[in-house]
Amino acid sequence: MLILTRKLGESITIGDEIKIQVLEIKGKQVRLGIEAPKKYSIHREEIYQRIQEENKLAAEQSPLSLKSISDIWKKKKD
Amino acid sequence: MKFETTRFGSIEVRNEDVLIFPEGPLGFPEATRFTLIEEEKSQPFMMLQSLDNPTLAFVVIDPLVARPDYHFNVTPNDLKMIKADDTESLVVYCIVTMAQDISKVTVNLQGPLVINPTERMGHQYVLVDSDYTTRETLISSPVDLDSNSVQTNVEQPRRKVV
Repeated sequence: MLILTRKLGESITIGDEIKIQVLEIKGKQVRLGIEAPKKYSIHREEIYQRIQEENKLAAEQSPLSLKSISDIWKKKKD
Repeated sequence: MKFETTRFGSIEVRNEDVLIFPEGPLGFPEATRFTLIEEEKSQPFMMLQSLDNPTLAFVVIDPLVARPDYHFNVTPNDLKMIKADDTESLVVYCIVTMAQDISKVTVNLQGPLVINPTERMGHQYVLVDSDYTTRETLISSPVDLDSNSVQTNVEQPRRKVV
């Protein structure tokens, strides 16, 4: 991993297209401004990971039949 | 075309019923082809079956069934990913995580699957600035099952994707 030290207001650039700037430092929090072409999706890592993990769990839990939960659902609706 | 699946055996899927997720659902980049299997007896739950991996299938639900006011914003760039010009014809499903205890069944409202039926393309969006989580309870509490106070959802509101 490349490690760089930056001060408030300073930036790093990645290639020609991506710029990340330190906008604010408050205690343990850092606000970053990111300029990048639309084709890149940018996520907070933990949200991205949470959805990935949830997908994996959901895939593992997929039942062979949906009927039982469907019956309970219908009972709830009535 | 014929596909092997663990749950449904060998299934015949017409080309127009194949949904392409170019990036796959998050965590499954290799699973790009799916088909939606709906059965009357299992409504409102459906199975999104992978056509690349016979064992991979997600239980999905129309999120409006779980939360009638469910909505989120998409950007023009989001739409490009599924070759859509507007949100009018888009279809949204959310993945359900099953559990032994029915009150622990959850629905992922933060990572909706958005499908453009015209192009048969889909993408899992990540709602960043949203109050929805990946684990919203589907059936709120066991008490609700026998309670008459549960509101019946008479009319399904229009899908709100702005």
